[in-house]
Amino acid sequence: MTPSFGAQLRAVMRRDLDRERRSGEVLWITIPFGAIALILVQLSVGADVPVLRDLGPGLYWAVVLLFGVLISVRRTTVETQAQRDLVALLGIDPAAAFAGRALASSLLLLGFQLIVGAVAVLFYDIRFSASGWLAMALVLPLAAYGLAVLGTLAGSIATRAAMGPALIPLIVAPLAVPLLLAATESVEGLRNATGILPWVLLMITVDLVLSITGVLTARPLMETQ
Amino acid sequence: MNPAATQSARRDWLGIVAAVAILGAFILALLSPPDRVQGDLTRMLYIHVPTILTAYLAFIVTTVATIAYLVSRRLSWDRLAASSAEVGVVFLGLAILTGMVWGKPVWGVWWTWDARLTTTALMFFIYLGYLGLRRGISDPVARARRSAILGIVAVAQIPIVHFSVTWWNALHQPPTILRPGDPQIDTPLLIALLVGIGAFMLVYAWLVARRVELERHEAARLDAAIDDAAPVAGDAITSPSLDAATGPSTRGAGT
Amino acid sequence: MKRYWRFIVPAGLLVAVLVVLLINLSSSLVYFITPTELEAAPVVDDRQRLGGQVVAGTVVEVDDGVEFSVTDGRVEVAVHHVGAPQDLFAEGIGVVLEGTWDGAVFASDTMLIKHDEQYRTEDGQEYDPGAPESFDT
Repeated sequence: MTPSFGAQLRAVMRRDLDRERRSGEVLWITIPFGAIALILVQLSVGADVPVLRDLGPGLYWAVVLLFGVLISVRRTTVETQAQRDLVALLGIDPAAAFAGRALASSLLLLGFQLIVGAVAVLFYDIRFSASGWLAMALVLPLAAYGLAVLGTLAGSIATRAAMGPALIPLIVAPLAVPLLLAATESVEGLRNATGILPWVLLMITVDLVLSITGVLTARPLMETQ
Repeated sequence: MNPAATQSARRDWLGIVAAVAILGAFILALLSPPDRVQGDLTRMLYIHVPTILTAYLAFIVTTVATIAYLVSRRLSWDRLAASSAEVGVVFLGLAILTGMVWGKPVWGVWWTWDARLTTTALMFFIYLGYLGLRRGISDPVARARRSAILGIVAVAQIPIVHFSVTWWNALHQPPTILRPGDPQIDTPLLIALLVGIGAFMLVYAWLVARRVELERHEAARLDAAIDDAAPVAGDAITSPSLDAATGPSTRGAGT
Repeated sequence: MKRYWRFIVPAGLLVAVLVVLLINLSSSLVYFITPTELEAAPVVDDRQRLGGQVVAGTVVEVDDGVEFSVTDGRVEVAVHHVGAPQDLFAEGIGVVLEGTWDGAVFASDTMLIKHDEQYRTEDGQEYDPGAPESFDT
């Protein structure tokens, strides 16, 4: 009996998370690298606290975008052709494989966002009200999910492409602008108390459309691998 | 072969016509009266606007050709999409450069972060990504199908760039011709501009024709290489890999 | 089996959503505020960009620069610009100024010219600089 769509999705997701648990690549390499980036920016800008407080959220999102892409395309760069063939031979629904990879990447990205976010809050003295922290609990997962789906999609488009690891960020970065705008503007909205609703709606819409794109194109893309 | 000969003759004629048109546009641009406010600086109009409109045209052709490929599954459409995007990126780059040269004396800055300039820069990088993706995949069918999504989605940048000056208040002025209502330009200037637009689009057509021909030759060489390899003994055991970058692989099982 | 719709449907969705949403994101890509917006929500002492048309008859050259008023057709704001004005600076032309607002005068240190979309010959009678509403977006 063929496992259900949900079971296939969970299996793929578990595989990706297991791989992270064994290698610790995100935890011990990507996250420290992201934190160093924030520190380097501070060094190059100078220790002007009000300036850093203004720059902080924007820098944080830029770091999340640039380094988050690395997390979401990691699979593409470490997976061998034999592994891809095995997944295809097992008859796993391409859409389930796509969703599983995207969800695993979202979780890893969320972890990255939380730890690097803590670094940013501490080092750049970013301040929110209590409701602001609650709002971030909504904004962070939405941004993580959107970036993860976009990265996974770009990863499956560029699978087996020469220069893949260098190429994918170039494809993802300009397309991630709506997400980046929504994320930075919602932080801005929290500071000025102008509301974050339109930005949250924008992120939800982008997330939904990217998910539909990924699921619908999963099979044709897998067939050309 | 005869059809190929007539085709290349037609292409050469296109090149000659394009060259004459460019010469005519150049002369008209120099002869047209100066603008009342900007004076001679306004002659940048006859280069800047045609380059960006040609880039728009190129990217629309890319999208249409991509959809035509997906419907018909004929690789010639994909080659047209790729060639048009490549030429479009060149014209877009020229549009940005001429815009900077024009912006410095008129606005006072080479570059500023208003909506029009920012979205145009984004468009440039999106199409660079499209070309980079095509460069990275060597199998023609896989390349065509993988780049299709990007080739279609990226065209959304055209309305965003074009209407950015209407949606947000920007430093860049609103459209002069492609706008509701009358064109906001006097007839002699309009004629020089329209001739310029036509001339640049002819150059685009000629470049794309040449680029498509090059792509066709490349594809033919690739096919010939595969045909040569086919009868060799042992092919049944390891399938030939077209993908030099990943080296010999055991692909072929299941895909 | 033709699956091209699998590419076209989501791509079409993406295009539509991006275009519709970006129209509504009017706040983040705004380049300058208008005099009306400045008056409605004055931000004192923060650097900002103000755009408007130079009001005819208000241009006065002073020691360290130039003083004039800009308008969007409804509200006029007095400007003190430090430094040499741009070459194309004149009465009736659009300008975008960077500087601070102290509640009475906009102190500008950077001037950009925002010319309009009209191109007219010297003898053309159609040029109409008196359309400050173009700043009233």
